[in-house]
Amino acid sequence: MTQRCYAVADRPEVRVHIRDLGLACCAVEFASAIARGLLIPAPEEPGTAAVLVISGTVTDALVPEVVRAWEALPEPKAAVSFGACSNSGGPYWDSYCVTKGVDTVIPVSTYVPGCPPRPEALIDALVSLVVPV
Amino acid sequence: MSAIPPRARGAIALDASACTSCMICVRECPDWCIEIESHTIEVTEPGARRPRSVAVLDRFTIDWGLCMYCGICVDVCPFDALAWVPQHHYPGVVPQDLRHGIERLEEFDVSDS
Amino acid sequence: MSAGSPPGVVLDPWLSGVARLVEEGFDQLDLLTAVDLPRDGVIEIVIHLVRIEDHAHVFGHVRLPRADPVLESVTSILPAAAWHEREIHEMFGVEISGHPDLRPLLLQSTSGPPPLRKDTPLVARVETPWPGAVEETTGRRSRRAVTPPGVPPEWLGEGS
Repeated sequence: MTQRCYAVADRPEVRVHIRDLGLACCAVEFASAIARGLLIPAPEEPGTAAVLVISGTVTDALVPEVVRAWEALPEPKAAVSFGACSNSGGPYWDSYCVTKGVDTVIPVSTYVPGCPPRPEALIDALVSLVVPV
Repeated sequence: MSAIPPRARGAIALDASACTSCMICVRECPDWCIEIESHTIEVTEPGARRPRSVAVLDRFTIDWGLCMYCGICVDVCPFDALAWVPQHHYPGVVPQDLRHGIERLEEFDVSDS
Repeated sequence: MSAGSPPGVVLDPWLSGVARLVEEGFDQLDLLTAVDLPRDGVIEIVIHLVRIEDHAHVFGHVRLPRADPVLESVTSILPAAAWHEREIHEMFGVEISGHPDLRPLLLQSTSGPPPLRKDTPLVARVETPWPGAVEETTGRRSRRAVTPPGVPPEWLGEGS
C-alpha cells in the first residue's frame, strides 16, 4: 500500500498524504471520494502532514498490522477513524473478535460517524484536521 | 461538486416535543446506542376531573460512534419524533463528541429532507 | 422448536458417506461447515459438493452429540477440507479425528469457549448496561419486566 499526496478539490490549499487502511466496506466510500474527484492527486511537497484513514472493521487479529502502519507513517501525522466499526466496534460491538474502537490501540485525531459515512464526511474530517477551527 | 441527495441518511433528528419517552426506540436499537431519561408530572387540565400523568423528557442521547444507521428507531417511533436528515458533518475530536443530546439532535435540519 | 431437516442426504457414518459421493463424481468441495442446534442437543455438520461435468450438486449432513462431538476428517479424500475442519474445530469445539494438523486457523486464543456455540456468552452484552432497562414513566402503562434482547438469563447468572 502506497501513500499518496492529495488535495481537497473544494479547498486546494488543504493537502495531505493519505494512507488508507481499508479493512471493510467503509473503504468503498473512501475510494468513492477519489473516484468522484472530491480528492485529487497533488504533487509531493516536503513537510505535508500524513493521515492514516482507518476505514473498516479492526479485528483483534489485525491490531498488530494497524499499529505497524501507524508507526511507519512519518511525522507530522494524524489518524482518522472512519466509520462506526473503527470508532467503537459499531455493529460488531458485541463480537468476540472485533476491537472496540481503533483508539484503543493508536491515538485518533478525528472520529467520523457513519455506517458508512459519506465520502463528503471524509473531506469534512480532513479539512477540520488541517484547518484550525 | 455534487450535492448530497435529499434523502441521504446522514443523521437522525429528534423532535423532543413529539417524544413521549416511551422507550421503544431504546429497546429496539440493536446497538444499544440510544439513552432516554425522563420523569412524570401530574397535569390538571381545565375542566378535567382528575390530573393526568405526563412524561417529561430529561435526556435523549444518541451515540453516533456506535450507531449503525439502520433506521429501526425511526421506523418504530409511534410519534414520528425521529426522522432521517442528510446532514453528515459532525466529526468528533474525542469519542464523547459523537454523543449528541437533545439540543444537538434538534439542531439537525428536518426541512432539508 | 427444533430445526427441520436440511436438504440433502444423511451421511452417517460420515467419512464413508462423503467418500461415496466423491466416487459418484461430486469431488469439488464447495462448503463444509457446522450449525449449533442447542435445543436438539446436536451440532450439525453440513457439506456441499459439486460435480463439475453436469453442474450437479449435493448437500450432505450428519448430526453429532453436542456434549462430545467427534467428526471423522475427510482430508484423506478432500484435501481442501483441511481448513474448513480446523475452523469447525476452533469455532464449534468439534473434535476432528484423523486430521493431519489441527492448529488454530483464525482464533488467536482457543482457551475460551468456542465462539460460535450459541451458549457462548457475548461478553460485551453481559457487561454493558442495557439502556432499555430504564422503565417508561408514562403513568398508567403496565410495567413489563424488561430484559435485554440477545442476553439469555443464564449469561447474566454466569456474569455475576
